[in-house]
Amino acid sequence: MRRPIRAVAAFFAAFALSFTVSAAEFDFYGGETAGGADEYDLGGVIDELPDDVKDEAADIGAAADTGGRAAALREKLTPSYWWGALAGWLKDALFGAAPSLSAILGVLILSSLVRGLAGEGGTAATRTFSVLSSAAVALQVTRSTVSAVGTVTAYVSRLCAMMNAMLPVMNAIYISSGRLTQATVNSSALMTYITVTENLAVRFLAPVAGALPALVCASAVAGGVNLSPVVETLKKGTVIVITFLTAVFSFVMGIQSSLAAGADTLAARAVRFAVEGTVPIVGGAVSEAVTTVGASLSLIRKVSGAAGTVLILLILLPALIRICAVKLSLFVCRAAADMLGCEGPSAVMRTASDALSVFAALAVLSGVMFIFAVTLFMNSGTVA
Amino acid sequence: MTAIMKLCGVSVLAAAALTVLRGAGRNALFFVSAAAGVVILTGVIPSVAEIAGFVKNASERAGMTEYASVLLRAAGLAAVTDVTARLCRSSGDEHVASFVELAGKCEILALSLPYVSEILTLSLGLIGR
Repeated sequence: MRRPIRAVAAFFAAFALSFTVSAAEFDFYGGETAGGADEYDLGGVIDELPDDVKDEAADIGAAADTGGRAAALREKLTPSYWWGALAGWLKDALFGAAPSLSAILGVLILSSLVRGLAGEGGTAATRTFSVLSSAAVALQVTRSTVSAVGTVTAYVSRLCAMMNAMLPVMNAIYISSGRLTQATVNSSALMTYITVTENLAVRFLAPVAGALPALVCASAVAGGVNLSPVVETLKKGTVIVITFLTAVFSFVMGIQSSLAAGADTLAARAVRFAVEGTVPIVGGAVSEAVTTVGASLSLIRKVSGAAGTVLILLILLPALIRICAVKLSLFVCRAAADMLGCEGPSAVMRTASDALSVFAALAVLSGVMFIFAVTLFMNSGTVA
Repeated sequence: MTAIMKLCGVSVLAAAALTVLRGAGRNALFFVSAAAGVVILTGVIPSVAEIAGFVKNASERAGMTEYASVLLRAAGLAAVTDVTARLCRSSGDEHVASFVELAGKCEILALSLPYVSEILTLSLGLIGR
């Protein structure tokens, strides 16, 4: 009787030992295990950057692992790096705005000279000459404004493309950390904000900014047309809309992230409890292994988040400094126009400066919003 | 200094001649005024050329070459139109003076058309983007 039982037991033991079981193949969440280096690769994010920023961030993208990326980031998180970068951007922006500044000042001085020679009140021909000089100033100001608007819309498009490329990386890290709900929430909220921001900048603000120079030119030629109420209304309306959108999205994203984090933590603890209770012998060790994996992903999350923040700043700051340089040159020229008594050119420059303020607000708020999303991502803990 | 002294001398002579000829009729007054104007303007041409040259050099350094030539041309048009209109008014021809002013305004506005055209092109480019 004992011999058949022993034979059966030996057969089952041999059968069981013929299978290899390893922790690497066990997946709590089903599907592919998210742990390969390719899914945390920031190469796709780096590819979406503008060329000048790509050169700055090349070492971050070229790093083979998280340690290398962290080392590359450490260099970029020092004050000396940012001071040097800011100085370079300021110099480029100011030297870029200088030709326009000198051209506008030259036209203003010439116009003032002719008016001075014509005497008080001037003649009909002299007054028509003022129209021509206003048109010349309007053209130079329009060129500067269109260039600055182009910079901002390109910046917004690039930033949105970069965040689109960063979403899969963030989602992969969220899922690896056990935060499925947070991954879904983050993905949907960010994609909505990216779409709204890009459409607002490219389809609404850019055409409106394009219409303004045409109106300004018409007022300069026709005379007597006051565009200040129009521009003021546009400026206030756009800033209110952008601020409202940013406040709503930051509130929604913050609240949803907290709730999703709570839900994910609860789900993970339930799974851990179930694994500890039902898996014999190794249940406790498997449960602890989940916690260890999550903790190790913390470094990857923080490095990826820091890299994302640095990249956003590398795109945002040059565009913002460029707009500020153009606004500064318009301010100087407007002061000169007021001193020389050129009212038409002064009104043209005030309108252009106000339009650029709207774009600067859009650039800053969209950058802040994305940095907020990346910060939420960095500070999301692991399920424990 | 010598040039301006000569021009002042011509102006004083012209004014004196006008005073003497006032009784002779308007035709004589007009020709004397016109002749004095032509002589004075001809005397000013070298100074104007020097100013124009300075403005052109300065504009090249400031990067506003494309504006400087047009603005100088418009300034010259405005000056010539103004002088002609005043001459016409002094001879009593108000209508001819207004026609001359209208012609001058049209010429100066025509000079501003390329600027307006480029502004509209830039604006339409942004609107259509």
